[in-house]
Amino acid sequence: MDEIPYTIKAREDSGLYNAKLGIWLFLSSEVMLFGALFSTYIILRIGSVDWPLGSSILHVHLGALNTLILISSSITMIMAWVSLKQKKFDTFRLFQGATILLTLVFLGIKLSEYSAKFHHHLYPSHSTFMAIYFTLTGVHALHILGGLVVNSYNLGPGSKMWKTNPEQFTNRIEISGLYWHFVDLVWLFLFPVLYLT
Amino acid sequence: MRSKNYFLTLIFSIVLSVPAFAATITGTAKFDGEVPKFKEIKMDADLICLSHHKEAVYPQKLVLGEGNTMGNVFVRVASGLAKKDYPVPTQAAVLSQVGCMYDPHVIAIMQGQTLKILNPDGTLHNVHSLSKINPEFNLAMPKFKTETTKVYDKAEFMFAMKCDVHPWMEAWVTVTENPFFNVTKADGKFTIDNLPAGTYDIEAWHEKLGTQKQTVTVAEGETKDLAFTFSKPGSKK
Amino acid sequence: MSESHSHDLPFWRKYIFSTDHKMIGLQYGLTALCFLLFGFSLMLLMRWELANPETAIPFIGKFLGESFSPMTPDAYNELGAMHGTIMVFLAIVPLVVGAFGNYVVPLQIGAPDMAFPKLNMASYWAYFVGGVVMFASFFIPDGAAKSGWTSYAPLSVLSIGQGQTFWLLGMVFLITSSLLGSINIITTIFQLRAKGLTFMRLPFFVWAQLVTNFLLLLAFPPLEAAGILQLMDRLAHTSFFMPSGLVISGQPLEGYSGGGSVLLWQHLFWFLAHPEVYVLILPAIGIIAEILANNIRKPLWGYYSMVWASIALGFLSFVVWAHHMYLTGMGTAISSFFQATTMIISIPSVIILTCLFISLWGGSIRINTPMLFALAFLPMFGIGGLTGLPLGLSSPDIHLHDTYYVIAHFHYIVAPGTIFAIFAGIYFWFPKVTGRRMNELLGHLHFWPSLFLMNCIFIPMFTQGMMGMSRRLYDGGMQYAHVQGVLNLHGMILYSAIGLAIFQLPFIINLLWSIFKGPKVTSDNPWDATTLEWSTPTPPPHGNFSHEPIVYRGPYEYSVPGASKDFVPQDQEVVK
Repeated sequence: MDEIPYTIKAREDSGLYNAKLGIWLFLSSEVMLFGALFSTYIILRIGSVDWPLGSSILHVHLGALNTLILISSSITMIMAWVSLKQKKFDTFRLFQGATILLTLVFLGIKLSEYSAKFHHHLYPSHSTFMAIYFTLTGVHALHILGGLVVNSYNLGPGSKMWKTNPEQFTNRIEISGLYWHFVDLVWLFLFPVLYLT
Repeated sequence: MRSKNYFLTLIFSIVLSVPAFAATITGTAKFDGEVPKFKEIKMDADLICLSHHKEAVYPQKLVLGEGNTMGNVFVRVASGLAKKDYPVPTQAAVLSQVGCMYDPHVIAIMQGQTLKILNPDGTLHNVHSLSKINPEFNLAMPKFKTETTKVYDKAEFMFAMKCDVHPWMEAWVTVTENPFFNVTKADGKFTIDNLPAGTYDIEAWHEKLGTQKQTVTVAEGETKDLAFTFSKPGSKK
Repeated sequence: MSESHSHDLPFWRKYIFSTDHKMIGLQYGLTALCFLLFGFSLMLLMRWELANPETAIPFIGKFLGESFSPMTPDAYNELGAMHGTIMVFLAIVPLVVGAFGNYVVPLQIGAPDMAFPKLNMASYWAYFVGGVVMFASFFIPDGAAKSGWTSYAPLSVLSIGQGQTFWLLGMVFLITSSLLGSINIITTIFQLRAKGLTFMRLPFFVWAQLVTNFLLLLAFPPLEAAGILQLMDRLAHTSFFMPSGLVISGQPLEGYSGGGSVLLWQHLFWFLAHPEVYVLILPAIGIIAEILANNIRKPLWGYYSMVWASIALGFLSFVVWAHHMYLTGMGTAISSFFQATTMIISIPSVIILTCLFISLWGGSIRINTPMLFALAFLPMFGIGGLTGLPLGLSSPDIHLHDTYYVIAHFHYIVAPGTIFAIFAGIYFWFPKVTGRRMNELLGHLHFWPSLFLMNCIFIPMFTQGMMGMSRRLYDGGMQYAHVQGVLNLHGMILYSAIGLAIFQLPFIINLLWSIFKGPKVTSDNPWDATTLEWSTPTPPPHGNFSHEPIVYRGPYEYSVPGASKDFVPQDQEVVK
């Protein structure tokens, strides 16, 4: 007895394969992580005397653009998985590449926003608003970066698995997709909370 | 190794102190106006502190001598000196905590000079250096720790040294780049000697009454006398 | 004893970067036992200082450096903060979850390994790096963190030197490790149970691990967030925990914008740290339940209620955290809420303890070393739990808060509680791990003095605490008039602690000696136990089971009427 069961096929009673349960558990812990950060935002804001209007400091248009970009990347991510399900490896490569491209654009815009803030001497130490802005978006950007690494691996060296074990490879894309949608979802909270209110 | 260093320093100090033509600036700091009344420091919280004093203790903010001469005024050459590395005194400066008061109240040392901090009180003191340029330290000195040494590596003007156990304890520390400074005693007198000839801004600092500046030109071998008069801001001169 | 086919792996793959859950469990166990010993010796130094304030430590003081001869208050603060951190995050949790969870859970559920073996290795190494970072912080200038294991802001944010930063970085590694580990164990329990092993047939230990790992999974991320925020405060000078108008030593603090909340740190910290208490105790109860059931030779009384009680504990532990904060001025409404939940959470704990006590009734009890520790656990945990009630009510807490009473209370739960359970577990599963038995005589020599001395250490602290002696005083409260009468108890505690240290020697000797020279077991199931781990070869090879186990019955079918033996293993199809 050596093989670990349910690495690819789902277990009947749980309806999940191992990694899928694993990623859901991981995401639940991520909810707690960002939950704590958002709670921090709420507590700081409630306790503050004059909380600045986010739109007066941050660039709403850039934020909105980034929102669109992330949503599109979620769509391409799903399409990449769907293509694998349809056994179309080339379409997968196309969509996976698009996801990565959109991610890079997102990070580029984020970086330009950061450098604009630094240029105006708006550092995290400037105020609690800037502090929570940099921390929340920074932690989020780290998650984006992590997703970028995983997605690039799955497009590059990792995609060799398609030849040897297509089912497991499809699962991998599904799981990285679940993670990606979560990161996208976090941004959907971040954007209105920081930029619009 | 070490003795060689001492030897070199000795040579340097001799070379630097010998020039007979060096200029000297002397002077007196005085207080003008009505002498304010200070509240007595209550040391009842620590019986050991209390036992060190027979009479009432007052803050060392304004120490006056006969004829209202002022102690605890820090005088330095603020500008006019050549930028160079001045030799660091080998002798350590001493800051003592006597009777739960800092002695001296205002202390100036050179960068790199050893500062010896003493605790002869037999109680717990806590030396909290609120320095900003030099690394801050916060050192507990229980009664068994009667002595400790610290070195400040960078010049820094007037920061507080506080004891977190006895909140009334406060000293002012300056770390200078050069040896041309002096702190007045109650007689208000200061002397800055071995100055090369030249024109200098002489600055006198007091923790509450502010800073005053005078420009003076000294020739080699000359001694000039300055007078600084401090008064409470708002009161007439 | 079957030959493991993993013997062809090179040394470093088999013993160092191993992906086998058993090897990782042992790595966790050995590392954490070292940290346990280290944390214990920090405590001995502190105890010397408390009993003999400002006196040089004899013999070893001069080897420890200037700040230990005699010990300075700063050094004492370092020891205090690091004793707590090391014991909780580097010793106990890795032992009960990392070691026992890793080793025993897959065996008890009939799995070949953990669900994610590589992740398992990663979590051990994250733990190891976290441990190294924490340990290294003792050797940097200005020393290790000294703001208490709770790292309350703004003291911790402003603490001088890099010790606190090291602490935070170390915590990030340890949290990551726990997180990966908990995902792994939960997935394993859900996905890899053997055929026929339904949830209500799981051994109670597995249930305890399941609840514990959910707590780790959901409670640790807020602390990670808090750690990130404090790192930002320390490194980027943000003001998450820095209120406006802060005055330090009579001088207004510069360089911080202010506007932060000091209580925010406490909320985030205790949101983790209260569930953490159940992380410390639940797996211990799980170990005790296994050993108890095995040695009373009858089913556990109230298995179902124990399972539901532990699930209830898991949920409730998330809504009691602010009972650590009654004195922060949260307001009476919030205090009342947390008093109520705190009283409610005592109910499931009492249910579990009562079930274990009643299980003893009418059993034909076998006395052996693991059973001794398990029996001692019950009243010790009881004392620890019941003394917590006054702390859970806000009015007595005003008097007892931050006194030695609190120390005594939670140490009763963790020291003669969890640590006894850990010893019990080591004595119990040792034959499975090594194929050899530990020495019973040395076991007795370890147990009886430990039990006696543990009580000599912690009972005086209740007295001191009720007299109002504050914790965290480097001189033990020498300067305070109201504790003069109980100062001499420090001496008794010190000598008991030294005694406790001495009587751990039989255990260490026993452990090392038995690994190589202990008498070999003659059967795969030396304790005549029912759960699945005993039907593996001894020691279990890579892949654990020689054939796929199928489970036919509940976990504790001892003394089944009509059976020829007094136990029926879970994978035995018919009672015969």
